[in-house]
This record gives sequence, C-alpha cells and structure tokens, in this order.
Amino acid sequence: MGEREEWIRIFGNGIREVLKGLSVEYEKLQEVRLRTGLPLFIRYENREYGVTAEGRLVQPGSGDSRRLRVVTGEELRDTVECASSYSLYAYEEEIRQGFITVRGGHRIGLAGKTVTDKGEVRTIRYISSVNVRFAHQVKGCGLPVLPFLMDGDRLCSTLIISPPGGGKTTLLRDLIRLLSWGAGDMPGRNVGVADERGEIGACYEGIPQNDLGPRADVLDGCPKALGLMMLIRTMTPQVVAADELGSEEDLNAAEYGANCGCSLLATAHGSSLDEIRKKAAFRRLETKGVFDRFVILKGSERAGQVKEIRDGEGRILKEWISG
Amino acid sequence: MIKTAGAVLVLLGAAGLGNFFSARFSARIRFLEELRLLVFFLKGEILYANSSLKEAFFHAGERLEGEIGVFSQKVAERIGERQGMAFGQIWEEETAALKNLPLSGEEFCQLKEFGRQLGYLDRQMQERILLLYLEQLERAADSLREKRREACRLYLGLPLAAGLFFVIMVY
Repeated sequence: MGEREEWIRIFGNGIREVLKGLSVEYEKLQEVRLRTGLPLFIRYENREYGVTAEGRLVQPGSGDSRRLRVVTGEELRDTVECASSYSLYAYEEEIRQGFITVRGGHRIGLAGKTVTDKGEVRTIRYISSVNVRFAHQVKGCGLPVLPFLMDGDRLCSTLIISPPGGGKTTLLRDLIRLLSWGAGDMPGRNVGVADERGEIGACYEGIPQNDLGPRADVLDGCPKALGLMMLIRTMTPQVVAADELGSEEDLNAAEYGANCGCSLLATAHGSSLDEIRKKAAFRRLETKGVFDRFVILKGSERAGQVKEIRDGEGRILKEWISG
Repeated sequence: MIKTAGAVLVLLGAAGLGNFFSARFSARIRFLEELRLLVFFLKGEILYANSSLKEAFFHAGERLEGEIGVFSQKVAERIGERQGMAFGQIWEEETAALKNLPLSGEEFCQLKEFGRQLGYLDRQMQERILLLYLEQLERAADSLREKRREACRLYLGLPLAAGLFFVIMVY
C-alpha cells in the first residue's frame, strides 16, 4: 500500500475525500488540523495552508480563504473513531495526556471537554479539535551529529533539546538506527528504547514499523521511567533511549541508567540549554554530570536542523551557521 | 395402495417438519451459547489484554468454530480495511450478512445494539456494555433451556398429530 493510502486512512470518510484530492507530497506534510465548525488546515513544508472544498491549498487570508472546507462534528468524531480503530478505550491512558499515537507513529492531539476526577484528567469527551502530526523517518539526519557524540568508542550521554515540533524525535530515531546498525567503523550496539508514546518505533503488535536497526529492543507503550529500569535490568543495553524526559521519575530513571554504565540518549522540550537549566530536576542532572552532550535544534520553523552541540559543561563543540 | 403411500408420505413429512422446528429451537440455544462465548472472549481481550476491537475479534474468531468464528474474523478484517466508516455501520452490515440466524426478533435487535455501543468511550463503559449483553444472552438462553423439553415435544408432536388427522380425514 502506498504512503498516501496509508496516511489518508487515519481520517473518516468526509475528510478523507477532501484530502485525497490534494496534490501534496507525503514526506513534506507535517500536520492536519481539524476543528469542529471551523476550516480544515494543514501544515506543509513549514507553512500553514487552508484546504478548500474542492481540495485545493490556499494561503489563509487570501481571497480564496472564504471557500475553505469546514469540518463538521460528525467528521471529527468519525476521524477519532477511525484513527483509534474504533477502540478509543484502548487509548485511555494516552487520552488522559491529550493524545493518541496511531499506526505509523503519527501522533493525534486531542482537545475538548475534559472529565476530571480528584484533580486528574480521566478522559476527554466532546472532542472538538484534532491535530494529526505525521511522523517521518528521515534516514541519515543523525549522521552529521553522531561524530560529535562519540568519545572514542563510547557514546556520550546526550540530551536533544528543541521546542515542540522541532524534530527531536526524528533525530533521536535516526541516532538509534545508526547506533543499532553501526555507522562507518563504529560497530553496532544494543539499544534499549523506552517508547512510551510509540512515536520512536511506531510499533504495531509489538514490532517496530520504523527502521531502528537490528540491535534495538523496544518497550512499546511503557512509561519511560519504568521502561528504562526494565530495559537496564533485563536487556543489558549499551545505550538506552527515551523521548521527552520531563517528570521527576523520568529524570531519576535517566540518572539510574547513566550510573549503570549505559549511555543515555534522550530528548527534552526547550529552546536553549539555559532554558533547560531553569528546570530544577535537569539542573541536578547537569550538576551530577549525567549528560556529556547537548544537541540543540533550531526549532519548529526549521524542523530537524541542528543549531549547536555543546559538551557537558555547556561549551560549544559545533555550531551550524543559520542560513 | 397409492392412498397408503400418500398417507406414509404425509406422516413422514409431518415428522420431518416437527424435527426441523425442534432442531431449529436447539440451534437457537446453541447459537446463543456461541454468542455468549464470543462476548466472553471479547471481554477477556478488551478488559485484560487491552486489545483493540480488531485484535479482540480476530483472536476470538480464531478460538471459535462455525459461523460465529467466521463472523468474528470477518468483523476483524473489515476493521482492518479502515474504510473510514463508523464501526456501527460495519457491525450492521456484517450481522445482516449472517444468513438464516436462529434468533428471535428481539435477540437480533440486542445483537445489533451491542455492536453499535462497542468501542465507545473508556474501558469501564466497555465492561458495562459487555456485561449487559452477556446478561441478556444468559437470560435468553436460560429461558429457552427451561422451555426446551416442552417445546421440542410440541414441535415433534403437533405436526405429527396434524398429519395423522389429515390421513384419517382422507381415509
């Protein structure tokens, strides 16, 4: 099945018909946003476009924007049902965090009326906004970065930093692939992946759909903190990887991993090292020297592009000039 | 001679008709029990393995034999096709495709309603839907089991009596 047929199957029938008519390259498609009673927007090649009822892309604000295709509540419900394979209950834990990850590793953000219980989100009812973010495996994007992360034969524990949508997961995924396969003279190594949201491996029935190389062991859907511990204890990895460290438990598990002789490969939200340092838990890890390298990306306007690489003390090792 | 042959044929036909209705009654109980088993398997898959509906129907279909097993696998296949339609529509089409179901009108309505509710909301809701349908199935099967002996005797005896009456009348 072609990529177009595959990604289009996330959507319910009404929206599917409109998207089918678009002349877009899947590789450059970043997001599709649906909001009840409001126009359909897509993010393509780092720009936002409205979609007309005839299936044409128009710039918001242009004359054609009055003809934008409006999404109905039923179409949005159909899309949520279809994307979850009619099994919304199976995503209960993820819905509490506001998203579901579907086949292919694509993340679907949800907003609507939240149902809370004792201060915690139980579920989201009356879903009124859906943001489909497409996961693209960009093979080779980690190649220019990898030499700066090595200290002889050893991989330095690395934190990849960027704002949401900046390409952290894409870079992390490719670094895992390169480490697992081996690159150049560097032999492949065992990589344990705690893939809580299923975005790294895009596992389907436990098997990664993305190429993570022959030496990657993926714990799919498992909370990061728990997953990192389990992998270290059971799979004897040389490298452990996790996406979006944030909570105290995640960072404790990361510290535990680094103290067990494993190299750590992780990502975190932020726009600079200084911003990350403002978070007490990260500051603690930095003080303890858990991370030897920081890879800072340019941000969502230039998704996936590296701005600079710093060592554990914050000194710049490599800087890419903006252009 | 012809009259005698005719009488024998009428009696055989009447007995056959009685047998048919009696067998259909038993098949109805058997079908309800198979449905109950399907719901049991779905319950296990959904509540304990957190499987999606597709996986749940597929695995349940693998373990079940006969028409229900085929039906379950067909539903899994249709979900896997991801045609963009609502699950309720898939369920309705697949239940409609089941030919000559030995179910009463009410039982068929319950079966359709069960599928319409499935997959909706959280696991607690799934549990309630599954338990409600299990209860409906159990109640229907129990009621039929109670009537079984009486009904089978009636189904076998009544056509035979009617046949005998017809033969006597003709003679």
